[in-house]
Formats: sequence, structure tokens, C-alpha cells
Amino acid sequence: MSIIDRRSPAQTAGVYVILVAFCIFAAFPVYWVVLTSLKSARDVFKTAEILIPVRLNLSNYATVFKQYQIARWIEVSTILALVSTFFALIVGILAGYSLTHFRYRGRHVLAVAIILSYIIPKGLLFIPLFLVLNQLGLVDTFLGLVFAHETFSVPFCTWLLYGYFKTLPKELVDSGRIDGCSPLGVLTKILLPLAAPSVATAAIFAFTTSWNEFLYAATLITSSRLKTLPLGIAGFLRADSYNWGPMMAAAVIAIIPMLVLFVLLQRYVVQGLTIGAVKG
Amino acid sequence: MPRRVRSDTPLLRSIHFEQSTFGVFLVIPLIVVLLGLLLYPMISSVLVSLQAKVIGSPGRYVGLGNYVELLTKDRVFLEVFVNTVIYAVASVVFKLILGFAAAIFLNERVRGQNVFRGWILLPWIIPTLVVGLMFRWMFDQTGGVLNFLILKMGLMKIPPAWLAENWLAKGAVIFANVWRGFPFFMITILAGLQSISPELYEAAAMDGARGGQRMRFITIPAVRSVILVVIILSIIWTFNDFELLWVMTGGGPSYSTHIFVTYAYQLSFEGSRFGYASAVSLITTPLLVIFILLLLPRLMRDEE
Repeated sequence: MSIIDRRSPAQTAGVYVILVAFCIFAAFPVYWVVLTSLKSARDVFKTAEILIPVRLNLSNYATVFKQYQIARWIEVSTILALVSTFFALIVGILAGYSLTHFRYRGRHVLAVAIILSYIIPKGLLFIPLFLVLNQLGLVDTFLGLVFAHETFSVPFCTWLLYGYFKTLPKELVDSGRIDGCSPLGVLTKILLPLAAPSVATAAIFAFTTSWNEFLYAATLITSSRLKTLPLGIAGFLRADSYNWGPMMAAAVIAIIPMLVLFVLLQRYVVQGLTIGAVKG
Repeated sequence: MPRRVRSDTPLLRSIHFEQSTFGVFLVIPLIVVLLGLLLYPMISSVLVSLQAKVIGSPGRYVGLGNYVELLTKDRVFLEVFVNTVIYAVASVVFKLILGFAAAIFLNERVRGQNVFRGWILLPWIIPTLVVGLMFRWMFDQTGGVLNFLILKMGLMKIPPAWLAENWLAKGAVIFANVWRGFPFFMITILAGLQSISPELYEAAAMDGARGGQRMRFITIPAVRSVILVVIILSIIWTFNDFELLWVMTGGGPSYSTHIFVTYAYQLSFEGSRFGYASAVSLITTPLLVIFILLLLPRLMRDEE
């Protein structure tokens, strides 16, 4: 709904101009990264052709795959994101169902605990988590990374799914039970099909957060075979001179899956983004 | 919504009894995660902050020694504290201005609204680490696009080394953080705007309210709660930012872009002072508790 009275053509044009300006502001840094990744080592610092590509070449991408273990980083990041998302979804679905459709003491406390766990920032958690995983001998292991990722995936997935299950009428469960479904059957046959869009939203968020995660990887992982993609890319900074070209090529490779997910599933992403703040 | 029928038929009663046991069973995985991966580490963090702790050897309790040192002897900590406040407040202010403006204009009837919305969300989907690298490269003194443009337009003879001077570096990391974070403000404020009933505006227009008045008396009150939640969440997250700063400046030059988390990281993983570093990261807890107390009622509003 417009806050401006019937717009004049000039006002309409003004709205578009401002929106386009926002788009340029949002896209320019990304464009710049892509452009840098497509320049040869000689051209990277040639600023004369900085804004419009002159000679494009893919040598940085070849370098990244030949001289760095980026294929391995991608593999680790993908498996890690899939595994931690999978477990977070299971925990979240079971807990969301339990907290909304069963009665027992302490479930309200748990509901508050979910929100608290969602708010607790990584900056508070990364040191003690390292120490705890160190005690368990899980530092520099894949399992340790999965545990670390559950600290943010589980609270988000549970909160989101809890919020959704709460909107489903309890009569659904009762009627399913009278029709002979087991309690688990009610979940899998009746509630989950309805909750599919929310599960998708939770999955996308857990996956992207895992894929982008850097701090836990930096504190927990030292061996090169367990490097995640962000950790691998950060390694470019340690070299004596920064190889901006290959670094930006690796950055583009990290962006692409997120871009694809986003373009295909924008509706779910927007839903997930607004769930915390707009609720109520 | 109708409440659950409290039936006294034996069948339903037995279902509910069986269900409550089963329900507890279903929530066990969540309890394990909450206790094992969140509560236990947080408690151990408090204990570690009371110790002189180095990795590989048991800590020695020093009482509040770490906190006393932090507050009375550590000059760097004072700087880090000021940096954190500047970083968080400046970032949130600019994110709010940009996000609110973008939301207002997106909420106008425009063609391709979804395309604009998706496009402006772009910064939010870029991995934070990549955002850091991206801006480090753009602010680069010799090869960066910013200095190229400055030279090209003849604004300065010798363009600055953005990330090597205290206040310029502060500005640069805030800029990067705002770029990354304003889409979240936009999308939540936009959702709030879209929940305002059009009839409200029509009624106001009939009563002769002009654009500015409608903004003041309808739009802003309607999204105030949403904005408050977003601001608090954003402050919490910005206080605990790590990736962006670590990659862009590493906390430098000297300590001018260090905030709590980067400082705690440096103390622990580079300096091996885990107890002291825990105290640094825990010192913000009272503030966090205040924010949480402000947030909880708003997030729990639809709770029974």
C-alpha cells in the first residue's frame, strides 16, 4: 500500500531510480569479485579496465582446482552441511511435534530454552565449545565439526518447526489417532506433509549457515583433509603475496551454490528470514 | 482457535496418557543437544574464566583475577570495548536507515517487486568470509576499485590506505557490515509493512491525513515492534561478529578494529590464554541478558 498519494509519473520514476540504486549498491561488490576472478594475473592490478571486462580468462579457476585442494574443501563442506542439516531437522521435527501436541511438565521451559539457545551468540560459545570438544578428543575431527554446527542448526530448526506445528489444530492429531495411526504415524502421515514448506525453510537455513560457517572451522580444524571451503579460502590470505585472482575465483565458487538455492527457493528464504522478527 | 476438546471418553484419555510419555521420548534429542552442546559449554566457560588456563594442562583457579586484570590493567580491553560499541551502534544505525528506506520504496506498488526484493537481498546470501575478502580487495590501497575511482575522478593525489589507518579502517569494516546486514532489516521491515491493513491508510486519507502524517501515525507505530526486535538481534550479532573483521583487518591496525570476539580469539587461539579470553567474552553477558529480557516477551507473545 502506497504511502504517497496517487503518484505522479515523476514520483513513479523516482521510486524506480531509488530501487535501481539499491540494486547497484547490493550487486556491485559481487560483480567486482566475479570480474576479478575472470582476469589474468597480469590484468588483476590493471585498473584501467576495472569496470568493464576486456580480456576474460578462466585461468584463475584452473589454478584453484590444480594448485589448491578446492575440490576436497567443497566435498567436506557439502557433506558437513548435509549431515548437520539432516540431524538438526530430525531433532527439530521430533521436538516441534512433541512440544506442541503432547502435554507434560517442563515443556514451557523447553520452549523458552529453544529461544535462548537461538539467541546465544557464537562469540560466547566458540571458546568453551573448543574446550569441551577437546576434552572429548573431538578437535580436528569431522564429528566435532558436526557437533559444533548443531549448536546453531538445532535451535533454528526447532524454533521454526515448533512455531509451525503450533499452528496445526490438535484435532488433526486426535482424528488421526482414532483412525488408528500410531503417534509416530500421525507425525509422518498427517503433520509432516502439511509442514513440508516449513521443513524446507529450516533445511535451507541450516544448510546455508553450515556452508558459510568459518569460526568453528578455524578453531577446530588443523589438518588439511578436513578443511571446509571457507577455511580453505581464508588460507589464501596467509600466502606471502595475496593471489587476488585465484582467491576471488574460489569466492565465486563458494557463492554459486548459495545463489542457485536462493534463486530457486526465494520464497522459503524470505519466510525464514522474517520468522524471528515478525512473529506476533 | 478452538482449544483441544477435553474429552473424558476412555479411548481419548488413554491416547493422551500414552502420548505424554511418548512426547517426552521425542524431545530427548533436543534436551541432549541443549544440555550437552549449549548449557554445559556455557557453564564450563564461566568456570574457565575463573582459572588461569592453558591448553593441555588443568587450569588453576584464580577467582575473579581475570576479570580484575581485564577491568583494571588491560588497556587494550578498554579500546576493544569502545570499538565494539562504535562498531555495533554505527552499523545498526546505518542498517536501519538503509533497510527502512529500501523497505518503504519496495512497498510501493512497483512492477517486478519480487525481482527487486531478491536482488537487494543479494548481500545477505554471500558467505560472511567472502564479504570480508571482497571488501578487503575493494579497499586495497594499490589495486582496489575505490582508490581507482578516487584517482580517476581526481579527488585526491594520493589515495588513502583504507585498512591501515585507525579511523578509516573502522569506517571500512562498518561499511562492509552495513552492506551485508541492511537486507535483513529491509526484509523484516517490509514484512511488517505488508501486514498493515490498506483500510487504515484509506481511512486516514479520507480523514485528510497527508503522506507524512500517515507515515508518522500508521506506518511507524505498526512496524515499531518489528524494528525493535531486529535492532536487538542485530546488536547481539554485531557484538559477536568475527569473520568480517578477522578477514578484513585481523583487528588491526594496532587494535583499532578489534572487538570482543576477535580479541578473545587472539588471546585464546593465538596466545593460549583460555581463561582470560573466556572472561573477555563473558564480560558482555549482563548486556546480553538485558537484551534477551527485552526480546523474550516479544518472541513469546503467542505462547499460552
